[in-house]
Amino acid sequence: MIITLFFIVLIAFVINFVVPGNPARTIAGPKASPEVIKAIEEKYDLNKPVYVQFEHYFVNLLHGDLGISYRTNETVNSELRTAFPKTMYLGFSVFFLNVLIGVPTGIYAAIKRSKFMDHVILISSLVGTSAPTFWIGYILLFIVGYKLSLLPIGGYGGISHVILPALTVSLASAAGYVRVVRTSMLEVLGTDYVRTAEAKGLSQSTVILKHAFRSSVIPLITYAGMDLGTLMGGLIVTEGIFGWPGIGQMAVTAINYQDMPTIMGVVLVAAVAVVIANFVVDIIYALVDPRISY
Amino acid sequence: MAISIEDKSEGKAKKDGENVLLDVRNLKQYFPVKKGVLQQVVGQVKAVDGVSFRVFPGETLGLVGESGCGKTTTGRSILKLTEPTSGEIIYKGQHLEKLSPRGMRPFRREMQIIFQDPYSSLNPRMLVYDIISEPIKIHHLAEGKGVDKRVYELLDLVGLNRKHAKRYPHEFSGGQRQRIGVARALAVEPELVICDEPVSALDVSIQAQIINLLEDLQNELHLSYIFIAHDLSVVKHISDRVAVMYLGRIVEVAVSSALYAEPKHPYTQALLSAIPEPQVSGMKKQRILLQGDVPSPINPPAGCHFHTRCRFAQEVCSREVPALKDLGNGHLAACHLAK
Amino acid sequence: MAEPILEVKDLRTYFYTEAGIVKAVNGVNFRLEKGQSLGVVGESGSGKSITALSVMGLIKPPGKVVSGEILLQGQNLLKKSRKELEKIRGNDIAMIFQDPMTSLNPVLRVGEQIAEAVVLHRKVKRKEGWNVALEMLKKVGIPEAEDRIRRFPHEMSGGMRQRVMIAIALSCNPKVLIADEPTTALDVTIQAQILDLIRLLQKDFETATIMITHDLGVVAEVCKNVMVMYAGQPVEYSDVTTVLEQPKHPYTWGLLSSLPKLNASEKQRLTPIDGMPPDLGNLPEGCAFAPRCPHKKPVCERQEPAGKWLNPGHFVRCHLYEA
Repeated sequence: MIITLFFIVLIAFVINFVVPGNPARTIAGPKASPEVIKAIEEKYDLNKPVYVQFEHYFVNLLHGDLGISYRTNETVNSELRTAFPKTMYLGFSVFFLNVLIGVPTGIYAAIKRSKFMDHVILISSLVGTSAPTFWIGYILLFIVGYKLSLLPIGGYGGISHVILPALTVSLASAAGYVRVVRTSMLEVLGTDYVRTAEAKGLSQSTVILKHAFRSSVIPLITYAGMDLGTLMGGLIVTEGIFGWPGIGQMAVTAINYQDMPTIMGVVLVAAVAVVIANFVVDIIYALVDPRISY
Repeated sequence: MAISIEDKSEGKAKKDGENVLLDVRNLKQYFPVKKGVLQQVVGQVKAVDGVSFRVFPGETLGLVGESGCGKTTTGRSILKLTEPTSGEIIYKGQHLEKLSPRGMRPFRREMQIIFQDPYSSLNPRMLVYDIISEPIKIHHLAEGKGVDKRVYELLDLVGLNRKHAKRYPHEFSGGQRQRIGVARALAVEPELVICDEPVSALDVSIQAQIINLLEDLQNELHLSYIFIAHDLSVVKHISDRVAVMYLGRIVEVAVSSALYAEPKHPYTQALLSAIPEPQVSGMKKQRILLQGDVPSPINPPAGCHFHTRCRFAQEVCSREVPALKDLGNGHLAACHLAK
Repeated sequence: MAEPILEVKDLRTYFYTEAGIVKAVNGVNFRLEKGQSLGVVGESGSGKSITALSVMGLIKPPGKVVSGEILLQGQNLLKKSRKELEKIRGNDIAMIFQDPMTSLNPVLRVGEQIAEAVVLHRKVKRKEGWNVALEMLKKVGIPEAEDRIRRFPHEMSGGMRQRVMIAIALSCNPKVLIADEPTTALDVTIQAQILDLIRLLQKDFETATIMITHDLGVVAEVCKNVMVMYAGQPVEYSDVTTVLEQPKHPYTWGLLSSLPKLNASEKQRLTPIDGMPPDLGNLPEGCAFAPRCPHKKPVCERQEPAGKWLNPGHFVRCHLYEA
């Protein structure tokens, strides 16, 4: 886990370096004199060799210091502290919607296997996965926010503000949930122990919810874990569209300004979040499946 | 603790040391049990724990026992499909355990295996012709038209016909697939065939067909079989001698009829009495019900592995491993109390 | 003749596959009295398991019970609604399946899997259900039942799991117990334990039992009557002694002579049945067994034998005995 994170830092750092452009010039502005630029380079160590810069950055990182934003002169730590919870808020809303939409639809499709509604659901989920997030975002924004004026078209706030951006990300990823739930339910519905449950005289709903769904949750957890990275990407795009002041927006602005410490900070936090979430997934496994123990 | 077990059960006709085809001595096959993030070895599954026996040309040695007794692993170790942990495997005087994979190659031709599951042991994407001709080509046993001739000969031998050569395995029933498996094994003219539960997936009427086929082939081609199965009636029927295994060890070896008529080891007695027989009247045998399940091979009981379930167990049984000793007429049993 | 608990009349269950109609059960009749045990013997594809699932009402598409009657104490189960069947299943008729390794839910505690049936059918509280579960586990001979009741299936051996399956099946004291190859997946010594248990419980609970198996030895151990099935039809029915010692149908002869004998002192060659079981989607005309039958007459390939009661307890479906 620590090794993974180290390589993430290294790769992000190198990528930042090979991007053309001089950060010092960007910071100083287009009209700055060479002396000013030189001073800035001096201040941020930009004139030192790469490995020195990396070493410098890494030592600070170990102390929990992500550096100072070139653009705002605030510490990256404090900027992340305000932005990250907002992204989490959006992220959990997306997850909640995924489960809310994906699980019942998947179960329904499995029960109606090969019937008309099953095909309708499968085709819609295919559309959901294939459609780009920004496209879904703008469509929702245009229809629900602008034409119908049902919900605010952007900005940070309570439930009414979170619905549209969350739905945007969720429509794409819930489609995956639907298919995973459907597939694993179909598999479980064919097992011997579901037949045993039926032979006990349990009603169809008990068989499905108590016996079948519980075992089919395991592939869903796996999928949710693997989907986290994609989810993170979706969040960054969506925050941009809806002006959601999370780390996604922070990243977009930072990239425009070649604000390296901020970019690195965002990448790192996102990576840590995904790694931790995967760890949580492993723990949930053990809780859900008694056959797994650590 | 090394236990040397000398197998003398071959009877009068076959004198000790004379003309032995396969001599397995103190064969052990352990598998490490790994646990945790670092995959530390926390124990050993003693799948085969010191097994010795001999096979003579033209005979069938039955290897029988319940699941987990190590009979299948024994078969695989002999062929070095898994590398044995220790012990000697002497085939026609050659020590196989020392051979490299390259050195094993000529012996791979002489020793073949037939698997239990005719459904999964045949490549579904190969024609029957290719399945059977592949080993012939690998070992250069025939060229050109000779290959065709040999394939048709083999199909005929196992009771299939020419038309079947151009079909895929899924087009056949279970019994026919097992015939294909037999034809493939015989393609390289082996001398020893290890039959690993070859009939247990088949219905009784088909099972009898395959058993008869195996018997006919043995007479015709002078084959030797190691017949591994859990069904005691089948093993008794087909074998000249039978070795009974329990938790990685052989507990009894005898000529088939003697073993069934007069089992010496308490485990063999219980095993035989447990078989439900399709007869109602006449002599009903006394059933010996064993308590509980077979213990785990990871930490098998000390001393005699069977003492935890044995109705005659005494103090010595939990302390000392009983040697496989000759009780007369080549009837061997590994029990402190057997006479 | 006593009033039967279960009577099956002319049951036919077909599967409508893309390749055609597979006639898995093709006219099965039998009756079962209180406390009686019936063995249903046949090879794979003989329709014995499908017969059992039809009685349980567990046939799923593309399968369908197309005709016949299944009378449980005079009431036709095929006329019942789904809700009514749910009340009968697990309560009046219970079933044990072949593979104990896969027949229990891996994520539910053993106690819950027994208790839920009790809670459902006896309308008791969950705690009371668990009490019954504990009592049942003790009855089926599970040691340390107080501890085992809180365990998950993967923590138990195959034999123990099959005992749990039996506990589930008998927890509501059913009138009919269907056991579908209950010992096939088990080792012989464990099989002996389970058969012993089934015999004991048969006496204890006075449950009528249908034992489905391919093993004539198992039938000899636990059954009073035997029905031999071939290609979806009963070909011979009688008490177990008659079927094993004086069978009349050539298929029964073939089955018996295919078996290696444990008590034979001389090595005898087996006499298998030639050929293979027929394709149920494309049954031959006449008797389904005729293509493999060494005693077939011209009529066998033209006309299906109607079957005949040789005496009040012995039924055979074969042209050798038709007038």
